[in-house]
Amino acid sequence: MKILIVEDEPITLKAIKLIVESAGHRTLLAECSEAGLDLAISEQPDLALVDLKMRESAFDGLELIRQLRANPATANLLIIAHTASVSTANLAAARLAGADDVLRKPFRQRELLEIIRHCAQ
Amino acid sequence: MTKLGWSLWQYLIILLLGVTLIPLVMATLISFWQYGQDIDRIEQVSKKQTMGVARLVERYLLYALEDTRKALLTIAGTMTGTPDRLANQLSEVTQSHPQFAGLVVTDATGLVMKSSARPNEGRMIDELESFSAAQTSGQLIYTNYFVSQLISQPVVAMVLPYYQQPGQFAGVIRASISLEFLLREFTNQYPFEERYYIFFVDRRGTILAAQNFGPGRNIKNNPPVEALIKGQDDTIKYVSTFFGDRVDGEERLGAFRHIGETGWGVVVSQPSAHVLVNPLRNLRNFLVFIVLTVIVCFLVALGAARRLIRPLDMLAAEMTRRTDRQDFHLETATLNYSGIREFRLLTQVYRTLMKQIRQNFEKIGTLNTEISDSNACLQAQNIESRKQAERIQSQLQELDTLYRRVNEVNLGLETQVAERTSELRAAYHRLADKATELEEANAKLTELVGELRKLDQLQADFLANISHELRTPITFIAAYGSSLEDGLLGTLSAEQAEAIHCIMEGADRLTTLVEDLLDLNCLEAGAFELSPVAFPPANMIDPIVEGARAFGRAKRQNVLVEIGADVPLIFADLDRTQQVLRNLLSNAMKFTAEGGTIHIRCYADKAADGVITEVSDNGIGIPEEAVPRLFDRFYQVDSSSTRKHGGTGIGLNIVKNLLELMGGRIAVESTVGQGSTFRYVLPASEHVTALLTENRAKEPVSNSIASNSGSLRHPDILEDDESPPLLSYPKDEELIG
Repeated sequence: MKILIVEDEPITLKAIKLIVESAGHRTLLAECSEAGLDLAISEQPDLALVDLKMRESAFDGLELIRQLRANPATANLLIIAHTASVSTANLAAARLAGADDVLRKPFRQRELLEIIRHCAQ
Repeated sequence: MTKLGWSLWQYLIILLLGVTLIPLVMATLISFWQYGQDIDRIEQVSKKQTMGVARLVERYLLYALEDTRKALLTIAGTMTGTPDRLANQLSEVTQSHPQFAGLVVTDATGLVMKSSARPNEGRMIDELESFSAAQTSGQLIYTNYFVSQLISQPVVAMVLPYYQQPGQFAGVIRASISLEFLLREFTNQYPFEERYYIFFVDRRGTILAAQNFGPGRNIKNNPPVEALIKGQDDTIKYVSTFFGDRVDGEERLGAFRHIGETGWGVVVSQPSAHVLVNPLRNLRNFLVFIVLTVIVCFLVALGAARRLIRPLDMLAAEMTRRTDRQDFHLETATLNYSGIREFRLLTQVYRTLMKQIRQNFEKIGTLNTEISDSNACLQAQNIESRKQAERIQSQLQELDTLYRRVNEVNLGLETQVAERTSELRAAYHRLADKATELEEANAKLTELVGELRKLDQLQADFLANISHELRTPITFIAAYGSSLEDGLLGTLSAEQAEAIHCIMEGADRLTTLVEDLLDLNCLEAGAFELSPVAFPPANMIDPIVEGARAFGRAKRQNVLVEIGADVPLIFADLDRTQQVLRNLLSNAMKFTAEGGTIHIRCYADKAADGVITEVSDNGIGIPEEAVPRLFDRFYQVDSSSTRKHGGTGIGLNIVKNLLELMGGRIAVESTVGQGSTFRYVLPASEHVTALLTENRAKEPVSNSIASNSGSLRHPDILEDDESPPLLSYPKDEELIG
């Protein structure tokens, strides 16, 4: 699968890339929401891992998910949100915005792969 | 009668006067206005007429005088002839000229030589003034008025000198002229209207001849006329003073004309325009005419009105009389028909009305009889009623006495009530004061609470931020660590695997710690989010046990699960119940030796309408003195064995708080060396349903659990669902739908 990873923390981004590529997927990397949106439209990935909290971006992950869902080119994209927040409200908000699933941070390599597999089915 | 207003008579008289007088007054006013205009015009015409007559008279007289002059010249021509011939000539001239009153011829000294009338020869000529004037001037002289001694009458004369030889004065020929005759001749020839008066005057103002009176009067007693004859030919208005009784005092319009060179003049006069068109005289006639007209009209109208009004009067009098006497018998009617149709009709109507009134009176009479009969009946009834009324009156009096007694009692009660009321009022005032104080205190408290809330919010925000910051490094530690552990980066040696394992455990602990701290903060702030749903106990137990088993395999620990057959659905936040179980289970495994067994039992609590879950281990146990404080925050059992395992002492406190938030409780039994049993109870769905139904019956608003959840679904809905979702938050579709 071609998987887009949107994550503002570079080390976490690299770690996620390592895990995702270890499972044999191709990755597209974006450190901000704008880049994530552009890549999603131009590269047409199968799945996107979106961090909800984006520090350096014009809009946060929640907004990115909404825009992806609103754009016909990316409306059917599989989206997994991941967040360091434990607030149930935040998780529910991600679902409402259009995320297929939500992953809490921190997570283990297995949990990430499991949720990707689950979504892809 | 005055109250009735004006009578028809009054109206009629006013009407008649109005109709007659108003046009007449108008006509008078108009005629006066007209008169002012007429008078000027008439005066102009009068002046012309008068002047015309004067001119006519002048011409006539001049003609006559010319004739006389010619005759005199003829005589003068014959004076050189024989005396017989002169005498013949004189008599001939006198006879042919009737205007000649007398004719005398004198010699140069003034002695009369010949005379036409009496034998005046030898006498001295009178009026010597004209004689000498003729002698000196040698021309024809016209004399003033004088009374001739020779012919014994007042005359004027023409005196002509004659000469024997040229330049030698021989005497005069004097012709006395009767102007009266000429005037008479003139009026005979031109019969003027009577209003014209004509008279002649000489230079001195002496009247020479007039129509109605004799000559000799002087006009000097009338200054306007005197002024007139001294001036040019002209007209003037003056008041007559010399025409005798008929017109003296009348205003006249006079015209004067000189008659050639004679020095005589003629005055023609007629009444002035004011006299001709005398407004007063006209008005007098006019008024007489008006008064007569009014009187005649009035009398005629009076007669007509009498004819009109008399029958009306009679009818009115008749009606009054009948109404006064209440006599409506037509047989006595004394009405005369008048010849006028309307009155005839009126009389007929009157008769019909009389008839009807009489009939009505008869009816009223019968009715009256009936009424008096029934009156008698009523009187009898009245007496009966009065008796009853008296009876009722006495009963009322009794009631009144009773009422008064009751009132007295009431009055006593009222006094007591009033006293109590005033006491209550005083108490109320005291309370009100207290209430005000309390309100003030409350306001202060609210302020404080607000500030505290702000502080709490700051703290919560800070903690949320910190926890996020803490978790980010943990995330990539866990991600990389797990990748290493799972051999993604190559196979590890036993020591490397051990090291990574330790790192991962550390990461796990940090994660738990951060989450616990965050939970603790939420619990303290009272801002804990709960999403209670109904779910079977297996949903809570299975995922946790599955995870723990994998973890416990390392210590070869066994986890046994036992769920009762008739356990009802639990109503709580699934995530949080899982957290509780995870916490208790990890504690149990932590304090259980390798190869130990942990029991999880789940069964219904019939008494408390709940579901009890037990986690028992056969670990080291808890000292008896530590049990009561076990759930206190930051409390740790002080023993070497526990310190070895580490821990913050907040896990159990969170567990207890969570359970209490969800309507549950927790208890612990433990024996040192033998193991511990943690037992907690959660509310059953049925119980909550019952409570909800009950509450809904009481009040339509949902209870506190419902409002806490933010998205409450009725437990009934999920009861049929055998496998509710693992995650506590609702699915998108459910929320949207």
